[in-house]
Amino acid sequence: MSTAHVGHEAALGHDAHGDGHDHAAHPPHLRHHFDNSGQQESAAKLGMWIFLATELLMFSGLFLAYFVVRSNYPEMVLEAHERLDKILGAINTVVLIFSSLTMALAVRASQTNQRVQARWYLLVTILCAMTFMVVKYMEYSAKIEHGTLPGRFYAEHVQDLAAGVEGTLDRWYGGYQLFFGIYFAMTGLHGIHVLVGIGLIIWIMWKNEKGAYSSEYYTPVENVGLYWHLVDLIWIFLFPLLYLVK
Amino acid sequence: MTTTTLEEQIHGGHGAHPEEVDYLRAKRGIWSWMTTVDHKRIGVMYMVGTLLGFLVAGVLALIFRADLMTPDSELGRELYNKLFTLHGAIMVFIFIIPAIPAALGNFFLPLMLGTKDVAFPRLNLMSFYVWVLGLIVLLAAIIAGNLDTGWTFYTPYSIKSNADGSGNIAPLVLATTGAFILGFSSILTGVNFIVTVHKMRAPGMTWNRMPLFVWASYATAVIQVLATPVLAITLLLLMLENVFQIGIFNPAWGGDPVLFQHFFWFYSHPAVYIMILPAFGIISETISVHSKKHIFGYKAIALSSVAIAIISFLVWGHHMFVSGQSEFAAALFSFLTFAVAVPTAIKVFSWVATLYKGVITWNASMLYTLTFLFTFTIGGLTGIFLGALSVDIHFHDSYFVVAHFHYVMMGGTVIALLAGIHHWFPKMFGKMYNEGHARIGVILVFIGFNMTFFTQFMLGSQGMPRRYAEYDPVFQPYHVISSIGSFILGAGLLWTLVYLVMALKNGKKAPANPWGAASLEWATQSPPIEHNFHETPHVDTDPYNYPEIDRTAAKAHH
Amino acid sequence: MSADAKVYIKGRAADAHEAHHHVMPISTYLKVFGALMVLTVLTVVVSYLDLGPLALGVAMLVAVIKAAAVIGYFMHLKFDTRFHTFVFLSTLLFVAIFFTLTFFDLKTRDMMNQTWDSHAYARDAGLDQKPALRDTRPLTAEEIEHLKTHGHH
Repeated sequence: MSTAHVGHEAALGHDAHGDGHDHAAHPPHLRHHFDNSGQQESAAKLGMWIFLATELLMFSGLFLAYFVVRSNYPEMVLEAHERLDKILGAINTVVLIFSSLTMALAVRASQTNQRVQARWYLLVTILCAMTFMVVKYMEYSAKIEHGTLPGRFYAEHVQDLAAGVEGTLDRWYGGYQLFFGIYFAMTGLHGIHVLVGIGLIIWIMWKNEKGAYSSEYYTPVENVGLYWHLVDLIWIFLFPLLYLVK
Repeated sequence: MTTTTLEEQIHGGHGAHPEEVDYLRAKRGIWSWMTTVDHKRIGVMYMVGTLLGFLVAGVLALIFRADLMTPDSELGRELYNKLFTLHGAIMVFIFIIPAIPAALGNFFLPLMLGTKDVAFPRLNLMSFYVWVLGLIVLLAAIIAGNLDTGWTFYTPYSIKSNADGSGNIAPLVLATTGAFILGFSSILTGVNFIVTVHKMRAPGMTWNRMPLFVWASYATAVIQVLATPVLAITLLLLMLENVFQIGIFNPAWGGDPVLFQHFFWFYSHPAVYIMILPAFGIISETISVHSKKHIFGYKAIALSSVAIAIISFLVWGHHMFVSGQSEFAAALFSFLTFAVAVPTAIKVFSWVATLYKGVITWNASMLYTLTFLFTFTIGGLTGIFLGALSVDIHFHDSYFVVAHFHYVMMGGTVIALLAGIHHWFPKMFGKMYNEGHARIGVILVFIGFNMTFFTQFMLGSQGMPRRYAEYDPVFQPYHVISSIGSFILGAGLLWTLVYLVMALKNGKKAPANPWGAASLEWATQSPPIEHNFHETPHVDTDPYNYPEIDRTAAKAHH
Repeated sequence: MSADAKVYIKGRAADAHEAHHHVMPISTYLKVFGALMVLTVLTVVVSYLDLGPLALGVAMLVAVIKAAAVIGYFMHLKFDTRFHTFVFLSTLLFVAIFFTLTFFDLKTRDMMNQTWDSHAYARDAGLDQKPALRDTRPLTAEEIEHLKTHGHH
């Protein structure tokens, strides 16, 4: 069996000495510990999918917390969720799904060597993401103004002009702070992911401008795309659960 | 089949390569270490870091063991609470979780797979720095902040107050941030290992030719990736509960304290398998190599690692039998817990069967391996007591639990780590230690360990609760024996540290394959060159091939 | 590296470009986007219907279909290595384990013991009695009374 191995070094077309090998034969994006682009790309994509798995499990804890609150205080959740703005929620849903579309098209553009198209698709994605954050900011400011805040910060301002009464509800009145606790936790963590996404897409766009990607190598675009779709995916569940559910 | 050396098998009869500069000397200076992406150097850095953590936490244990020699507490309750919190948190989060995967795993996974590095070397370095950051934050919080919650941060105690009752939430928030950061480090290692195993194997390295240490590390990585994110969100919710009082865990604010335990143990029970599975991997290597015999039941051991990883997610409720959890859930969790015993027993039987008719070398690594079989089996069997719902009601929060998990974590993981360090030390540092010195260490550790913790089974079954600074004088004889045992154990471990450091300086030069092992890491020189192998190895045999002794294996290759 | 060089991925001889470079036509993306919009409208509409206990199920079903469209097409999972699908589905399996076993406890907890009764807590705290409050509608007499005694004027 020992003879079977002679000459494999030649067959592999490289040797294991990182310092000694011929760099000219390698594409610039290929890191030295990989044998070829296919291996590097499939490793990066598997890594990304596993990372997405960790993201899903992390958010699953928040979803579980939501369902526990809901199951313990079903009526409270129904009453409290009426305080959210369904219209703004729906707008953000459309914006985010549209950004997912443009992101997917950006990946496709890189895949087909259309660098300029990729630039515009990425730009639209960033603008959508920023729109999402602006709407989120409007929603959060309204919550702060009305005092519909989590836990001990809950102090909802209510008034009845007809009865001439106005005042502040504390958290022992309706238990609504429990809903807003979970609302801010879920949308807050999601919002952080959107911000990280904006940063990542800007980075991808900058590299794209520098001509780093082509049909031969666009793994980073693809992976950032996967991340961005996950952000969209989570919002697809957050929207009905927080804003709409009866 | 001719008997060729491993070196010849791998390099196709070229004969040995001339010695080349190894990874330790390839680049010089502290900066080259701090910026290295070499998995071997990162492994060594992790090893130094985790062992320092072990040393510190071990000394803390010796301090409160000394205090426990008398029923009164010299330290006082508050300091005692702080010390065991620090001991537990360092041992769990800083030492034992990364000790084997991030140190030995990092070093040997790529070598065993025949590749140049892990899939994401820069992520690997990042995980190390994230780990350093996490440990700084965690330690600062516990030391400066009077944290006394134990490593579990149970609500509502962790929310209500800290030791001085000031209601200052900063220490808890800081400590959970620290654990949160350490979790990220663990996830990064896990992602790296899974991808490395899937994508980086050498030609011919099929799944069924991977060393069992790799299988175990793979199963561990799966748990790290699936469980750790839930810890992250748990700690995040705990922080929110503290800062905003969102009412999720604290009953006073409308929450459910048992829910915290569900969240916590969904991570932390699988996490005990993050601690023990790599130890199983080490034992599978050492027991085969040092008895020069093909591992018994290769596939059974490999797949039982995966089975343990999956079942570990189904049993977390056995930590909560007295928490007020539903009796139905408790009964279900108790039943599922017994299921873990099956794949674990498959492993133990396979290891014992491997010894049968082997050529056993009584060196330090083998002695630690045999110690493992002894102590881990006791730890595992007492786990059945605790997994049984009715018995656990009696034993819960007693020294029986303390003894059980020290038999598993110390008698299992740490003893296996010692077996692994003695097994791979020549490969890692290119030096041989003194075998006679090492055997003295084994004997001290074995006697000390069993004295310390076996007495605690008796203490626990008689009703001595855990985490108490003061106790009823009737327990004193047991505590004295336990404390003396702990000093012997401490002496044994310190002795081990001394002769290993001496060996680094004055040890004899290690050959490439001092034990005559058959897995790939022994095919390269000791210590390995920076890129591991001169040529990408081609694999056409399994890593437990000892044809001169094991006739069954030889037959299979004709 | 020569074009015909034999390369190894996952321990086996393999094509250098193992990953598939599957390109979908733009029209497919647009169709998927259209479907997602329709489903979004459906979710909103359903939320205004009185479906009772079915509402949550329907909303989640629609969300799952939307998610499947995003994963399958935008994330290319349908055309990707099947192992990535396996990774994704097994993640969901572990999420399911987390949810099921936790809820198994929560839902059966009051059957035998009474150590902590969330419904009793809600009753005692008065969380289950208060009517819906919105700052746009007239307050009930009860609410006005509450505000007069507890609210900060």
